Parts: sequence; structure tokens; C-alpha cells
Amino acid sequence: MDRDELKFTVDVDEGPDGSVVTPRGELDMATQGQLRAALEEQARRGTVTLDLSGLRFLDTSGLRLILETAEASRRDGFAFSVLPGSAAVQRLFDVAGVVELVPFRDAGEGDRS
Amino acid sequence: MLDADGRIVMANASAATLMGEGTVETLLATPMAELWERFALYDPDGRPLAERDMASLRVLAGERNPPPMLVRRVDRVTGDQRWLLAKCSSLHDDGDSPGLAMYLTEDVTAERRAELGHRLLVEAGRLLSSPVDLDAALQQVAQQTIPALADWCGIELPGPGGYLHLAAVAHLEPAKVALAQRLRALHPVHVDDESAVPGVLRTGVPVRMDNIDAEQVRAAAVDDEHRELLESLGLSALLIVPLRSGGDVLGALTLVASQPHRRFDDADQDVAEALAQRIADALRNARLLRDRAEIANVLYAGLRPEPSPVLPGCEVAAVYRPAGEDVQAGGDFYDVIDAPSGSIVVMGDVAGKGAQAAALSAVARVTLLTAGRLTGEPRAALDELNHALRRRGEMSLCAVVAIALPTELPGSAEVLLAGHPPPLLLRDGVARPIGEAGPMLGAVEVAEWPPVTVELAPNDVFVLYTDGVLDSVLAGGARFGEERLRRLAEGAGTDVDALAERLDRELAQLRLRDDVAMLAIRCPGPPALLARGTFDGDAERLLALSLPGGPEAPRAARHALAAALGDRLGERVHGDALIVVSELVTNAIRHGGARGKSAQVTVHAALRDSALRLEVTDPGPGFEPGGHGPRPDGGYGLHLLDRLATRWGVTGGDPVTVWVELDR
Repeated sequence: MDRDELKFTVDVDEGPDGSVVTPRGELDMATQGQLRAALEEQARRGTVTLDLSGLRFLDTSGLRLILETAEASRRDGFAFSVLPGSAAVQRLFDVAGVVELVPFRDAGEGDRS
Repeated sequence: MLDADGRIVMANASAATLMGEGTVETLLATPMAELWERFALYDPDGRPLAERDMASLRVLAGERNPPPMLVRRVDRVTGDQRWLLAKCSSLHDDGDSPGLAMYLTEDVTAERRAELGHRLLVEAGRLLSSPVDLDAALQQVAQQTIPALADWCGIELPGPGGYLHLAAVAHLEPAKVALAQRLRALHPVHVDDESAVPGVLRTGVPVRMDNIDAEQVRAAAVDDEHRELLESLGLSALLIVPLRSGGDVLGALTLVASQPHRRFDDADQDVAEALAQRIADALRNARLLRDRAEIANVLYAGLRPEPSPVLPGCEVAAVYRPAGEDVQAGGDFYDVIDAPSGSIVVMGDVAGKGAQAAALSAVARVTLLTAGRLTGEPRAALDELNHALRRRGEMSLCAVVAIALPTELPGSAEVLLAGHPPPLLLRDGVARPIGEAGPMLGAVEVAEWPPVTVELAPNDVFVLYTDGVLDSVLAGGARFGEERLRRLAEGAGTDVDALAERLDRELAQLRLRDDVAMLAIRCPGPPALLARGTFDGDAERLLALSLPGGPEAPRAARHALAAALGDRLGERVHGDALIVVSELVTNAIRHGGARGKSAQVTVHAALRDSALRLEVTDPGPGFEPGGHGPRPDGGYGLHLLDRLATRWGVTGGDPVTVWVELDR
């Protein structure tokens, strides 16, 4: 097994218009804690974009985290948007029936609210 | 007196008054044409009469003695309506051509109207007294009012959504009836509308409108098409009477005069109100009868045993035929009682038949169900019912068989009999009765029902039946009997549906002396699992992995599965399989017994032609008592599993195995 495949990393880009958080690798029960910490920290800056394009796997552990973050953004008043991932990743949102609950937007598009 | 040209040459004072002229002189001076224009004439059937129909002219034309004519005459100016009996005879010259015609007219208005009113009420009473088809009767009643009372008659009742429904509508011309229905369809009237009929429904007070003119019609119309429809129906007078019975307004009777200048007077309203009373009473009676029938049906349906009872893991087929005509439930019953250790199947037979027996069977069922569910013990359930029946005033007896079945095989069943025929155990094609007789419930205060234990083998079939089956009479007079039932069961083998179908078909042709109930239960063996090594031989085993518990386990499982699958599956199914295995292992760790590294989670995978089989086994519930299997993970896990899996299930309690199949 390729050592790279085992690594899960979370890249954070703190730009002037807000932060972009990009998890890379497989998001599951073991790795969701790392992403959660990054999202909570960046939320305090006021604007967070979660970019899923680096994900190679997503299950309900990660799904739950994303939904909780969306909920928190509404409750605590920070801006939160999500850049979609690969077709395989997006399928999970469809099958779980939660697409409407996630603030997706296309890269380069303004906030779709 | 009329001359050969039809002119009036002589008349008496009454004739002058009748023709609307003050004196005989003015009558003689008035041209015939003017007189004709003054009045509209109709025959008793409501059809307009022309000049040439008049007896006087027929006589002048040569008819010797035309029969007396009954004519309804409407004064176009005053709207006054009269019934006139006209007799005409000719006064001949010498020779054959008539010289003068003598015209005698009798005003029979009062008699005629009284007669018509009376006839209408009698006929309506007859039609409504005990109608087989109330709707047809209402239509006939409406028809009866035409043309004597009105030109149009409608019976309107509030319908679904509060819209008025035309229960009956009548007019002399069928084409006009269609028009009225069309009008109502296009412009439905609601009980809350401000218009005339809803007003009557609300207030219960009749409404009478005379001399409806074009202006009023225009005002009432919603649009041009509506106005045209209203105008073609013709409205010159309107009488709406509430249908009132037992203090409620049930609907309205609408009478319309469309012939010009026709109107309704007090006498008409009296008849209309009397008629409305008869209609309303008939409606109320019909409603009461229908409500009663509905209540009876609901009760009966509630008492009927479940036609397709569910026994986890088993196949069940049922036959249920209560004795008696048109009955839904009787004294026989059966139930499946969920108990912690498995299920208890009961079948019972209350002494008696019909509604009373059904009611007692309801008591029996509730008692058995409650006691069985709380204790999980068939003996306790029988004991409780026995006491309950003993406590009742009258002698209440109930025969019951109870079988406690395990959740899964291998296991054993326990059979108890209380005055009930012994169930058959069908194994390897041979059926034999099982159980030891104990007393019927409700017979003695202290009773014992010795249990008989049976080690179950896969595909064993239990056949429970009441003695109604045995006692039914075959063509030729012989009793159905135990032997015939046994042969039927052996013939059907392990196919419980076939057994039920065959028995039902045979019973359908027989005379039933008593209620009949039968349950056939097949216990399949334990489910085939990769984890147990009992899965089918034609599957290609891909993976049998044992993982330590902990958060790393889902990923380890995914990678192992991905490696084992290689390229065998299409991209989507491959992706789904990885999600599924990740979810199952995540659950085993979160909710199952594999929290820590010391615990083990096993993952099995096998490939068939048609599907991928995945199984995840964990030691069972963690510290959460009373539950097993996957539980919602944030509310989406279970839902997701259901959407992704083609088939899935949970087995056992210790260890727990969740299996999922994904069709390729």
C-alpha cells in the first residue's frame, strides 16, 4: 500500500476574504477529528470554505461533520460554503438525501445563498 | 259563443272576467289576436298549446264533439295561473257546416292544484318509504314535480369539500337537464357562498323569488358563458325550501319556473315544504342506517385476526373462515406474541358463534397477548386467561393451543394444549400430532397444561387448526377429519402457502358447521452466513478479515476490500461497497462491542454471479442493553445503508452479524 494513501492532511489557506480548508486523503471516523479542529478554528475568522476536491473517500462520519458545521454556521453566524468533490464523493450526499442541507458552490462562483 | 271565423259573438259576464276584460262589451270588442297574446296556454304535460289546438277551432273545422280539454293558462301580464276545463260543442246550421260553437269553460284551478299536490305527496311518500336505491328514488321524486309544481326541480346536498352536489335534477327536456349539470360542473356552489341555496342551508328559511328579470341574471352571472347558460335555462321564478329533519338542514329542494310569468304562490310553497319534509326524513333514515352498518363493519374488521401474520424468520400462511353468513369475525382466533426469548403463537376457539363469540375472542386475545408479552411464558398466558374466564359471570370456555418458538435455529419449541386439537408437526414428509391434553380454559379453577418440548430441525412445519376444520362436512355427509388434514399437510410438504391454499379451496366448497382457522408455520434453518461458514458453495470467497477494534478499523477494512475486489466490480458498485464496509465497521466500533483494540471485528466478503456479499461481525452490544445491530449514525447511517444495499439484514445476538448484498 502506497504510504501516501495512508496519509490524511488538512491544508488551510488563510486568505484576506476568508479561509479555505482542504482535507486530502480519506475522511472517516479516524480522521474526522483532525478536520473538525481545523474547521472550528477557521470559523472564528468569520468565513470558511471547505474544499472537498482533495478527498479520496467520504462516509457518514465525514458527512455528519459537514452537516454539523453547516448548522453551526447558521447558529453562530459565520459564513460557510463547500466546494464539491469527485463524483464518488458527491454520490454520498445524494444517496443520503442531504444535498439541500449543504451550502455547495462552484469554485470561482460567489456565495449561493 | 264563437262564429265560423272564431270570433266571439256572445259571452256571459263570467267569461269576460275570465278573459281578463272588465265587461262583456269590452270582451266582444277585443280582437282575438290580442286575447291570444294575453295568455300562454299549456297542456297538462306542460307543453305549450297553439291556437289550432283549441277545441273551439277544431269544432269549427268540423270535429263534432271534441273531448273536454284541461288547459293551464298563464296570464302573461299578471302571472296569474289557472287550470281551465274547456268543453266545446257546435251549434249547427241546417246543413253540415257548423255555424256557431259554444264554448264552456270551468275554472278548476283550486281542485286541480289540490289534486296535483296531493298526488305528488302520496307518490313521493311511496318512493321514499324504503328505497333500495335512494339516489334513484330522489330522482324520481324530482321528476314527479314536473310540470305540476315547477319547470325545474333540483335536490341539492352538501358534498365533499363543502361543495353542493346535485343529487337529483329534473326538467321536461333531457337536453336542459344536461345543461343544468354542466352549469353546476363549471360553476360549483360552495356551502359558504353568498348565493341563494347556501343561504337557505345556513338559515333553514325558505326563499321565494318572483319575476326574476334579465338584469338579475346578469348580476348573478360570473362571466359571459355563465350568463348564457343561465339564460338558456330560463329563470322567471325561484322557490328554495330547506330539507330539514331531526333539527338539521340536510340539503335543499330547489324549484324553478322558467316559463315566462309563471310564479310560485303560498299554496305551491306549502306543497313544496311538505315534499321537502318527506325527502329530508328519507335522507336522515338512510344516513342512520348507513352509519350503523359502518360501525358494525369497523368492529368486525377489528376483531378479525391478521390475515398475513408475521413471525420473524419463519414463513407463515393462514386460513380463516368464520361461520355464518356475511360475517367477518367469529369465535376462532390466532395471534403471534412477541416475547423477549422468541415468539409465542396462539390459536384459540371460543365456545359459540357469531358476534358474541367474536367479542369474547377479543377478550381472550388481549389477555393472552399481554400475559405472553410480559412473561414470555406460554403457561403464564394460559393461566391468566383461565382466571379471566373463570371470573366472568356466565360460563365462558375457550380452547387454546400455544407454541413458544425460538428466535433462531437450532432451538426448541414448547407446545401447550388447553382443550384444543393437537397441532401437527410435519417433518421429512410425515405429519404427527404434538402435545399433551390439558383442560379447556375457563373450565376449572386450578389447571395444569403439561408442556411438550420439540427440538426443531430446519424446515419443520407446524400446522395449527381449530376443530371447525375437522368438523366440516364433505359432500356425501362424511366428516373432514384428522386423516384428511394430515394427508393434505404431507402433500404440501414445506410449502406452507400451498397448504393454506389447498385447504381454503376445499373448505370453500363445504358446509362449515363452525368457524375455521388454520396456521401453517415453517421454520427455516439459521440464515446462511459467511461468518458461520454456512454460505452457499458457489460463491467466490474474497475476504475473511479479523481486525482489532478502534478508529483505524474502517480504513483497514476498506483497503483490504478494495485490494480483494480489484477490478471485478463496476466503479459505482465498488465505491458503494467501500462505503458500506466503512459504515458497518464504524458502527461495530461505535455501537457494537468493538470499541477498543482488544475486541475484534471480522469482515467477510464473497462474490456471486449476481451480487457482492459483505458481512461484518462484532461481539455484540456494548454497554447499551436490549439492543443489537446497527443504529442510526447521526440519523443518516441506517438510511444510507438501506439506500445503498440491495438486500441487508441483521442476525443473532451474540455475536451480531450484519450482512449486506449489493447487486452487480
